[in-house]
Amino acid sequence: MRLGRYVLQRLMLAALSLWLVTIIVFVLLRVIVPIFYADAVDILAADVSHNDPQRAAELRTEYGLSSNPTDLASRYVDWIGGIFTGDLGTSIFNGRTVAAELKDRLPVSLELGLIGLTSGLLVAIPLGVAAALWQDRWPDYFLRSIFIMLQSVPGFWIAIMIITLGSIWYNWAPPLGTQFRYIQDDPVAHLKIMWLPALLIGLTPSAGLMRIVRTQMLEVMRQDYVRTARSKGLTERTVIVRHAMRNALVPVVTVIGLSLPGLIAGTAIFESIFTLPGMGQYLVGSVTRMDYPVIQSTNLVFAFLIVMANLAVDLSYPFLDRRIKY
Amino acid sequence: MATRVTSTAGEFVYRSPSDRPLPLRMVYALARFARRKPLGFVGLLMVFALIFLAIFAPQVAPYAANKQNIRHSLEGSSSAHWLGTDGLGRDVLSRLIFGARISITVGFGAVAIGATGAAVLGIVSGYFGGTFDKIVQRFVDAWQAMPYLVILITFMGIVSRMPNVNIVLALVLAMGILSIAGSSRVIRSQVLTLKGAAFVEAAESMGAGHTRIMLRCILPNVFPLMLVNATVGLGGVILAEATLSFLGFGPVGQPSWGQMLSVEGRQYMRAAPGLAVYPGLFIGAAVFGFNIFGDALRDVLDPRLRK
Repeated sequence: MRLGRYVLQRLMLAALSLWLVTIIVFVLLRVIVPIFYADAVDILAADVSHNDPQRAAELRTEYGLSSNPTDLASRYVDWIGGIFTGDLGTSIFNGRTVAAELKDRLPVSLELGLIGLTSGLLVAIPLGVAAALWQDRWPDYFLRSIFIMLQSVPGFWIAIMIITLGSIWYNWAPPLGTQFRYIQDDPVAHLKIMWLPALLIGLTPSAGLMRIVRTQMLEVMRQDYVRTARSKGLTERTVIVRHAMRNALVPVVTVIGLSLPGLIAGTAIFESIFTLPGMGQYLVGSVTRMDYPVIQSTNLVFAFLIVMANLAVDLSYPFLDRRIKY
Repeated sequence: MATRVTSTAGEFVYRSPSDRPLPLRMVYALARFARRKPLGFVGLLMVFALIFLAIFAPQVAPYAANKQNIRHSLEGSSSAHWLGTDGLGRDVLSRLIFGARISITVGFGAVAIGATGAAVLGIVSGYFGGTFDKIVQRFVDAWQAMPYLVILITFMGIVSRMPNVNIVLALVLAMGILSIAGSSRVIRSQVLTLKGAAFVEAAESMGAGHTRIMLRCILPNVFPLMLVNATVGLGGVILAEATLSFLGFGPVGQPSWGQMLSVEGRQYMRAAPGLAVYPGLFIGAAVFGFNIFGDALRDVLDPRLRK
């Protein structure tokens, strides 16, 4: 029953992480920022250069802003209590519930992230293996330099380059989300909009993955069991695919887990560039509108996704590698 | 002090490399680094060039960063404006040179906070061990699981809207604090091995206190690791700053690469594609320089990779 204990331990850790995230986000938004900087109402007042203490006080109640510790505590309890009943809060800006927005937006972001990750892996694994097999010869140098450069250049710059150069040279521009179609309404139009941002999201993480695949592959190819497999007379192809790769890829799962925050951040940026109605765009928009309940709950949803993905990675080890025992 | 002896030919020779004066030792160390890690040395040169540009921007840049000249807006490359001008007729090259200041300030500032915090957290947690270490490490777990850029977007998105706020300082603090957790792990694991070393035991037997051991025995030994973490982290911080500026949550009033790319670059995409191309190249070159230098430094300094 060691596995059961391990699972339980991981679950408790995930819950602890999420709880800490709620504390940090809440304290950041409602305590640290108002104390050291200013709160939403101050900003609104500065924006319209209008200072009316009475109206400001009214707005503060409307926004649920308060510097009174008991007030803050009860707000926090309300928020957390709401989450357990499926109530993630309501937007101050347009009165829509966060839960309703999530129902539309979460699938878009998840789709972007999943296509991005899958395509990134489909590129990174074969190229990483190839670079390892040709170690220190020109294909290796070539692939590694390309991927090091890819890691240095911001992904959003590549996106802008494709949009700019495509429109100048080929008079082609990717369709932007202004004419966004949901997959259930018009799958073809949907994919036409989604394919480019999805591939671009996977590009930057794939560089790190390719480098780790190469290192792991080099490590594994030196092992005794690879020599044994070769001396049994197996073809090189079987040795690589059945013996080497399967073992080289276990640590890669960890790196996938580590690259998820980047992937999720990527959706935030690419959704803004391509104006796709996903979670990232929701967050950026709610931050510019100072929509406190939405900011709080979107942060929590992002944290939830990352924590769950890490949990899945941790729990997959015992199945991927039988030598690991808990 | 017989460090220098006169050779038969009448010139000064040093008896051993360690007798050389410090500046000369540094030159030799640099030459050795260049020989062993040519690519890393190229990265170091790029880093130096960037720091030079940032410090001497007013002297190097041909124009002031915000000098407008509407009659010369959106021009292409010319001898007067090497990389052309933007929509307000400002010189793009000058703005890129001044933009290095934000990247360098934010990069070094955030990394300094991150490295110091990580050293304190990693050393204290690893050195004392036990239940204390276990509790601290669970918090570090949670800290690492946080969506780094999402929290940054949230914090900077609000702070950058506020009047009279030092946005650069806020950026440095936020990124520094968020990056503590990750590198404290590496330092802690190094501290765990160091704790059993003979020199720590020797210091203990001479009656040295915890503070003294941590500062005099452990800190100097994790310092190379801190340096490696910081260098490797710099590229990431510069990228994150560019991302935030790109989203419009960065410093305002002074040029930064991400903001140039997003505001001017996207607006005049077709008329002047250079406005989008050059900032990206500068970001890429800076991050590339720090990355390859950091990788080489890791090979040389990281005790776990030493063979």
